[in-house]
Amino acid sequence: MQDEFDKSVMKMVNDNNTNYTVAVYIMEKNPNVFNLEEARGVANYLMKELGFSSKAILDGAAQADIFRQVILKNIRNSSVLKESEEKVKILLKTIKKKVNSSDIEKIIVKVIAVAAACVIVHAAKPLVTENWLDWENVNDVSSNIGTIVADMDNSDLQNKNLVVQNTYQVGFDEDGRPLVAYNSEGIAQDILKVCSKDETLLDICLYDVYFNMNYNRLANMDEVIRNIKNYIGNDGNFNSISSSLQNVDVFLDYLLKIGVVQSNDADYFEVVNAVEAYKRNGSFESLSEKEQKVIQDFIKKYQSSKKEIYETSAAKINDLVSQAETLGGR
Amino acid sequence: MEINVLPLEDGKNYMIVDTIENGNFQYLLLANENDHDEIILRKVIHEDKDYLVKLDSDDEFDEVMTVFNEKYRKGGNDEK
Repeated sequence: MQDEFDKSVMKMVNDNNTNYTVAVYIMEKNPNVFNLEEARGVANYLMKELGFSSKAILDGAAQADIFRQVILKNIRNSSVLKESEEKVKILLKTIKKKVNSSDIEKIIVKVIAVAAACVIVHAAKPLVTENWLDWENVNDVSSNIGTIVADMDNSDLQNKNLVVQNTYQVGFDEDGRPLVAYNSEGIAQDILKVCSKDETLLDICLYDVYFNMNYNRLANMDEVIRNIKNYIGNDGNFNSISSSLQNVDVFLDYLLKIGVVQSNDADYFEVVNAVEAYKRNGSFESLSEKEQKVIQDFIKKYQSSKKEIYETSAAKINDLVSQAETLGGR
Repeated sequence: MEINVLPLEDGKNYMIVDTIENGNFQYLLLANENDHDEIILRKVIHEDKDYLVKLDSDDEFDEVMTVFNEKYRKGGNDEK
């Protein structure tokens, strides 16, 4: 089946000058092809063997996404009550009919594909809404960015790769599997997009992204912050905050400040020393294995208690909103 | 296979392709029996009898689709 699929995709690419990712997507919709893993395999083969660039992948993914968005829009339009529309109740009264089970399977597969796109739309929505600068939305946006990143840690690639492909393209590893890392540049840009009009949001955004990230991605988060610094360096609007923006230690300091470990905890000094080492060395990779583990355990502890902390953060944000309203700023 | 079919407000018959549980609500994924590309969602409300209504907002729609997505990520519909 893989060979047949390869041939079909290749034919489409050659005959129609179609971007190969789009071709793969179209072939996925072919009734004979339900296995997305196979489709990814073909995409990988085409990239490795035929040298398609990563830009072509991104362009293709974007185009494929447009197909999905169109399907999604149609489902949404006929499912959600419009403002001008009156609510109609239809009695749930069914009759049994015989259908071909493969027809039902095809419909499910189609909705799976668009539902993955819907998750992205849901996550990206606060970024594109006119009110994206609202304080509550900022919280949502940064949480969603982090959630997407955290999702990519999961080994269930078959469906999640749709998510990866539609957010931050990550390429493929040496064994041809989709590479599960995120594009730190994309994350950095999203954070800046959220914070560009109000520099005081930066900390909240960063904390929320950290909050939703897996602890072992700290090294990548260093890169996100380096990227933000680079952008800020080229943008006069951010001059005033560039001095306050530091690496991951900002986050670790924050965790110490909110009391994830208390001074009477057995591991308190160990954690403080590891955080100090992090600050001195400037990156996660430069820490000793033991220090890395201490930091990771520290973050794990934070994550396990995050519900409580999140509520505290939400209260803090609400306070800030109240203060801003009192000052007449919003 | 046998499947449940019901008429909707537009007079067309829709097949119940899947059910999605979210919180206290149940949602039905429906497809037009004559045009399988016409796919819609409806919410079930319980009064004296069970009724189908459209979803109240885009957010509700996104939420249900997210739940649907999760359901199949976790290995599909066990009922099927």
